[in-house]
Amino acid sequence: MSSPIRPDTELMAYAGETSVVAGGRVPLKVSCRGAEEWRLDVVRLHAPTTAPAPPGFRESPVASSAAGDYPARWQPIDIGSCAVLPAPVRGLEAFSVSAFVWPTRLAAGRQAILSAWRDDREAGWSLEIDEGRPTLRIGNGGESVALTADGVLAERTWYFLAATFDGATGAMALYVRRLEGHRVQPGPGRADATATATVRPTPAADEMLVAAWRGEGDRRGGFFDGKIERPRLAGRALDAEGLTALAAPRVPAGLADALIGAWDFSAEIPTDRVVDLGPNRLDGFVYNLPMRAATGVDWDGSVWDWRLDPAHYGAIHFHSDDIYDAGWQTDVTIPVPADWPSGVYAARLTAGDAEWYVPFVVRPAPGAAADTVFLLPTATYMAYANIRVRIVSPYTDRLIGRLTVVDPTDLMMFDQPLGRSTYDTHADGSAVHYSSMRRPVTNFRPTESDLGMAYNNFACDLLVIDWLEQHGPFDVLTDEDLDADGLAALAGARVVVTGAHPEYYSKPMLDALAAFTRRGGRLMYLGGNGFYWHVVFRRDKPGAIELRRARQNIARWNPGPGQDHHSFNGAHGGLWRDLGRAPQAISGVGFVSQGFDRGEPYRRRPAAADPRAAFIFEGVEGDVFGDFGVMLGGAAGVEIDAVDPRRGTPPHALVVASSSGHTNVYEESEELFPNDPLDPEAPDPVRADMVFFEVPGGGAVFSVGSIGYAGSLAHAGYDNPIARLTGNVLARFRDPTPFKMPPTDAV
Amino acid sequence: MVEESEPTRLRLVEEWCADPYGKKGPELQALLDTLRLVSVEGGKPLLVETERGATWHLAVLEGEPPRPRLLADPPFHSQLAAEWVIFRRRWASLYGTSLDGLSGPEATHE
Repeated sequence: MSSPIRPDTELMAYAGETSVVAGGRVPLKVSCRGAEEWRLDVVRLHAPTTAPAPPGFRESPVASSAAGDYPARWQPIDIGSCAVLPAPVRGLEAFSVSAFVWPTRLAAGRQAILSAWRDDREAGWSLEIDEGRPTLRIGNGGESVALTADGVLAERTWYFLAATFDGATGAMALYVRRLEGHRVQPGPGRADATATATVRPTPAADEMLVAAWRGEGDRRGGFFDGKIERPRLAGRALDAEGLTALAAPRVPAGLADALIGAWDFSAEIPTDRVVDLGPNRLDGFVYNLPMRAATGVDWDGSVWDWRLDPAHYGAIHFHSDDIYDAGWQTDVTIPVPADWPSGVYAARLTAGDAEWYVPFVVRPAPGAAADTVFLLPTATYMAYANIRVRIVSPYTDRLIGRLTVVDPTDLMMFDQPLGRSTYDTHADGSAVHYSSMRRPVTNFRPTESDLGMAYNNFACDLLVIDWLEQHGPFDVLTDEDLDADGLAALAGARVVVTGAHPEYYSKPMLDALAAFTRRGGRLMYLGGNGFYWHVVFRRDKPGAIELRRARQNIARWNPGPGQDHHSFNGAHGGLWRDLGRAPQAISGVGFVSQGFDRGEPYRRRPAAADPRAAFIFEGVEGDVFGDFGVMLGGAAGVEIDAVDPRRGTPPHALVVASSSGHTNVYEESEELFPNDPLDPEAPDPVRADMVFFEVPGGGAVFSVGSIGYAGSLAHAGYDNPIARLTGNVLARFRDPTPFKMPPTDAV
Repeated sequence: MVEESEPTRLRLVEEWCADPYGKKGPELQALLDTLRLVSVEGGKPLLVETERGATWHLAVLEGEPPRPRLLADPPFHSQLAAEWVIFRRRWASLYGTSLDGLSGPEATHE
């Protein structure tokens, strides 16, 4: 039955590339049901939905050979992580399997630990957990038997689980040992459950899955939530002593005749590879970015960086809602001709009453760089992709001072398994450390229902794009481009303009921006809460970030003890401030507060009269400016930043304007508390500071310290103090005349 | 009917109606902080924009895993009108009294 909150047609899509150079191609993956076909048009995006306030939605059609109608098909989302190991399980007369297991969501029903099992055919075998009870299931493709251990496992507790089967006798056995403390190994013990099978297993393929099994259409299913370590497979039914030996970090030579595979999750942690320590070298792969660099059964608190002793990190934490790539086939590939200028484009899909945008960036060809680069903060989009907490949380209405506003596209995440954002928790309550754009993302679009809450970052950034387009040509790069190419990505650029919320930064990105300004480059930070969290990209996982919010006491974010280092490269996660690279050192300001109910204007500070800042205020009248805008009605708002000399604001930085009088919804940020007010002359500790400073080498930085700023640029047809002031800065920053450092006595 | 025993709270309702998206005094903010945590029809209320900038429907998010359910109210053509409906329902749930006799923020703004 039709419902206004659920379109009759379901339409979702994502791209295989978010940033392409002219001459490249954008693979488009689409899933659609409720319509016979869907239509593709390619558009260039200029401004987001803001009506009736300015600037108003603006896109322009782009002629593309890919435009047209395509047959609709439904593509299921490949969600849930696991490991697939190429084990020769077919034809085994007998076997033993074992692993260390740390379950986290026992109420979820049947979950695979180790399997060679087709669930739809009841074929093969699986060591699984069924309603919290370890179970060995054996099936011949028509009939199956299950041996279930007595006793229910406890969550977040290490167990040793093993199962054996002897085809000669049909004997099935289960071994279950709870581990006390850390380095305790399972000792000899009795079998916890035994039975005689009346069927013989008939695995469908020569593979063993960890944390999943196969189902209809060969799709992976039965996903386990929790940690698994040291999966083992042997070709005969071992006794308790043999199983204990099999579970050792290094399998003893005495088992060489039986060993098939002994996989070590502590090896090659930054990759998808799973290394087999055994003689058969049955190396496998993990899928959908389960959490590697996870503390294992041998972690004892003495090691906090997995690189120092990987043996403590022998576990992988699998989640039933992990996702890197939805796994869809490509429906159409959009060619990007050489004459498309750099900019923000989108595949606009329509079918019935449904619409879906897939934005992508055409970056400049080498050697064709404009003097101005807009840096699209795609790492931030990844961090917020499909954020659920703002819709689900009962506290949202308090934070925004009104009802939570959504649209039917937002609500699709409750009907489809789109995966979580790094602001949410997994279904088992653990923090989400990886996020990807290789899946449908509901908040990566120009049409948002609510521009004032910092989760809809792409739409807000289009407000800056819209304004920049009033000021001549510019190129667009993504965070991934900057991370991959470093300073070279900015070759030829004189000015870098940020988005409204460039919150997530990798070290190569920070290094590139710092080097850029120290070589004469000019940085316009037109946002708030920037340069804040440390993220890591991985070259072989485009479109994804890893984020470990280390040293945070916010439970849903905390990686857990010993897990503060990223698996992608071993670097410590957390706030850049805690890692010695505070935002103030690059932009002069850093995050101090957030509130989503109302924005405020800026007021000139005494430094605005400094001759060094004269160019900023040319033609700008009045001491108070910015009391307008589509993001909460004021230029200073949503998330705001202030100077802090202790954290790197240069001593010569001019605070030319500040906001004040923010509502009491604005609280000092949780992760910064307590945040001592530093500037006794500042109007308010909760404020946005507008800052300018020169950088040795002729460069300069201008920062506004507010996400809401972007929403004020188009007010009154771009004829307003915010737009004029920002235009003044852009014009001066484009001027190659070097900025001179002010005289100082400092050494 | 509004009970005479809550004149202070009613004064705060009037304050909210006069400027629902404006700055709040500490008393009103405290009241709103409490009120905005109150569930509606067993779920978290949502304002679903079904026609860009023109039409909104009320829904609640309920259950685990959460699912949206459309409420029976007719569509709204102003966010503020929907805000007032939810304000009154939360009020009735929290204090057991009705604000139906009050004209609401839109009337105050007209």
